Amino acid sequence: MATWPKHLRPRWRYLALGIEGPPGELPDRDAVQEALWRALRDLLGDVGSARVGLEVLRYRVAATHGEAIVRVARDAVEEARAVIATVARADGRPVGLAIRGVSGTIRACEENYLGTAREPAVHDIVTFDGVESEATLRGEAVDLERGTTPIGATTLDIT
Amino acid sequence: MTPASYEAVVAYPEGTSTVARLVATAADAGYGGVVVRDVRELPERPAISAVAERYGLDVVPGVELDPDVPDDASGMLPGLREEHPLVGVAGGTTRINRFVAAQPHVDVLARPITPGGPFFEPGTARTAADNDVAVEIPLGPLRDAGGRRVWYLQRLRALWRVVDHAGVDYVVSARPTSHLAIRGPRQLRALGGVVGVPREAVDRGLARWGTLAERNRTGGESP
Repeated sequence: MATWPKHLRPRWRYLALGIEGPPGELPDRDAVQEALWRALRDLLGDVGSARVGLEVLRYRVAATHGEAIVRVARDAVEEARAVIATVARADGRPVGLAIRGVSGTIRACEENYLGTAREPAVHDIVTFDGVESEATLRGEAVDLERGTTPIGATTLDIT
Repeated sequence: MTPASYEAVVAYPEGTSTVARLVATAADAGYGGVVVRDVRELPERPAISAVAERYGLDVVPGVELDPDVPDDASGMLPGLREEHPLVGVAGGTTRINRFVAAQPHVDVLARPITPGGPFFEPGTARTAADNDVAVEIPLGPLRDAGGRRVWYLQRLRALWRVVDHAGVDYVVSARPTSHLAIRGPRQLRALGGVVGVPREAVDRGLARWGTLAERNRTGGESP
């Protein structure tokens, strides 16, 4: 689009997303992109989809946490927030998407909202609610592996 | 200063995240407080006060009855507010909605509409206004897309129109049962704007949980 006059070029905003899910089951980039586009179409239809955009530009994921930058049209940030609020699953598995901030450039988005202290996840056996369980610990967060449904806890809950 | 937003959560063992994890996540998402919808089945530790202190949020130990028929709840209601700063009763059918709206001992008529249930009736909204019962505007079912959502959206839009017209008190929540389901106040505000619940109404409804609890804790009148 290098030849477009400046006043006709599309204007963007960049959303910094935090991604959470059950340990070891975080979605990959394609799954998150697919979930975002599906949610966008379900909520706002084809016309809204074309207007908002929602393209994943950066994606990093570790065992329990990930982060992404998503590009949206400058005048559609509110709609993008609404759409992201409706995403509950990616690739069939539960996922939590949090919007950490909005910037006018990718670089500002990276610097202000992403790459925060990446504490490594640790695997351990903990006692929760009177029962020993395997758990993944990262900072305050403790994810307990209990049967088919993992349980989210914190260091306050375990002994 | 705008009043703090609250989210009203379902914690372990009914939900899949503990109060502590829900509160920690809510703090990151921008909430100033959390209502635990029903504290009766929680593990003994950690104490609610310890969670509130660790994560710096107001945590309200609520109670939420979920009766199948009105008779199941009527005997319990008068005593609940002495023990809990927030008393909710789940509705969802026309009969239970009408019953709950007529109870001055109830703070919140929770889930007055459900995916699969009937429209909320204007007469019930007037009854709730007369008895100072706040009606919940439930945004949680919007997390699940699919065939039922259009149907639910129609009931949600109608609920807001009825609530607004009756001038009845209301609260807003996405009722997370897991920390993964917590959406920040700005996301819910934007979502409300898209689906027909004005953004300012979402703000007011999220803050109203906190002022309701405060009213009961101090034994005073509604601010």
